[in-house]
Amino acid sequence: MDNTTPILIMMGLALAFTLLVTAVTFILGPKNPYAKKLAPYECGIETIDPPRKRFPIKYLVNGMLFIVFDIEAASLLPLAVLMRRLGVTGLLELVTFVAILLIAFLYVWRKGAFTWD
Amino acid sequence: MNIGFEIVHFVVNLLFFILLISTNAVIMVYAERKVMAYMQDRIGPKHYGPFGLLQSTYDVMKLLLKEIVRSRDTDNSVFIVAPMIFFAPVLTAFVMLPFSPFVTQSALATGLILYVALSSLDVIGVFMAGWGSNNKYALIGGLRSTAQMISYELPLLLALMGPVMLTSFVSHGGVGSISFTDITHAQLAPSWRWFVLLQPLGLMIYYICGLAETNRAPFDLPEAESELVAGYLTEYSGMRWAMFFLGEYGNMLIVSAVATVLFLGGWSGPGADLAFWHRTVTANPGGIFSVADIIFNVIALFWFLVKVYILQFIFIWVRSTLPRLRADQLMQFAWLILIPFTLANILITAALLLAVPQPYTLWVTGIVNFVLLAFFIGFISRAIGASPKGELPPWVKMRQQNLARQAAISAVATPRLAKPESEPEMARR
Repeated sequence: MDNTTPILIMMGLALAFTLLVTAVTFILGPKNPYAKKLAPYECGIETIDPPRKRFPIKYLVNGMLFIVFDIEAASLLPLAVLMRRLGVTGLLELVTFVAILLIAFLYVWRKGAFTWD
Repeated sequence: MNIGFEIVHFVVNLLFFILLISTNAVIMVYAERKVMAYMQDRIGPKHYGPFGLLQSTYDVMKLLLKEIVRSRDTDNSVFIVAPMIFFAPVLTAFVMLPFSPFVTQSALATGLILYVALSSLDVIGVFMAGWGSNNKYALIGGLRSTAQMISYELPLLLALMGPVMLTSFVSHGGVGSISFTDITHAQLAPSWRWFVLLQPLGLMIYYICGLAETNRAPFDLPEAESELVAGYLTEYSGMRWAMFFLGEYGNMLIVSAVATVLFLGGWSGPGADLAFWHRTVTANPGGIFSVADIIFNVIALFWFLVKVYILQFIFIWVRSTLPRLRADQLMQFAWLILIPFTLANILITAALLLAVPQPYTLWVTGIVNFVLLAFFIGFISRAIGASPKGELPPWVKMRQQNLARQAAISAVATPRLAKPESEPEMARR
């Protein structure tokens, strides 16, 4: 058996387990719905307006920064694996890469992306 | 590699994983309640079973028998799928962890990347839960949690670069590895060098990020009861809620296990040593095991689980010690402290490994990293206001100043307001 088959089997088992557990509670649990119980939780009062409103732009900025830095981390991984092979050249590449990213990082920092009010 | 061995290997591992996953949550819930109780001068659960040992089993039974409530405003498909998306990757991530040479379901060559990928799937589950609930608390909790988890994923991934880099320097070919099995072996042969001795800062940052990734205190803002009810879990009940809960405990186990593999030498320990490694791993990985090998595997498994449960104990310890962070502190800690420190760690480690001549390379790297760790701890304690020199923390000083000021004010104010000294209470009685 190669190394990927157990992972696929485990994924299948995990999904099957979640489905099974949900099914078991559907069978065993009581079913007693009424209007008050099915209302969305709002500390006991009626929901006034729909919850999906505007959310702070900070979350969006965070998400965009995450994508940039995640790609960075993904491209650092092969460099780290081959660090000894690449030697000084690899180190210079690493420094250049991080320096370019740091410029962007400092820019968004000065722009106030990390200050929350 | 005969087919009978393969089947035995697969079945034994599967049984082990099922046993571990199903008992871990139960054990950890009990341990958490008991340990936190004793830390807070309480007794904790004690009614069901000896020392309350059956308490969490009863809890699980209760959750299974609960009604599944779905509020009328939910986005049905998103709401129903969210717990499954959260829970399934947690179970899957166990597969490539080497618990012992034999108990390794899959020695995947890209285990580290698969682990990171699976751990980021959790974010999607959390956000789906927040969005699908169609509830204000849930949405805010989901957004917060997403922002937190993606912010802390970066330093987590960057902190793992250190051990990966070290594998390329300790291996003979000069090429590192991101396979969990290879990383364990790199810490074992030709001599013991657990990467915690070479990368203590990496372990520290990884563990902090692990706390944030699993939404544990002090990073449990998404579930901050006092402000958000239960965050993205608000609308969930019964076994759907329990899936998030079990997923969280599974995540804790995985974070601890990965920290063990990458930094604490995996299954190595007294008894599970180099001779063992040569006989079982290098010599004949697919052969039929003798009794001695089975005993060795049990010892290896024991050491792995000991390390994992020590790390999980620290999870509980931290929870009962530290107060919850504020949202802005949380984000700034990830972006302005952890990420610069991890980047500096990577650059310094790489430069040292390349620059220092051979016999001293690892020594110098380790010592410099310990200095960096000391600097990091000093930096954090200054940032959060704890003072190392026996001085009082600033907030305590501020409180004392306030009290002194109030005392001064009341000292000026009392002569006019207080009762005359001539009729004290004792005298009236």
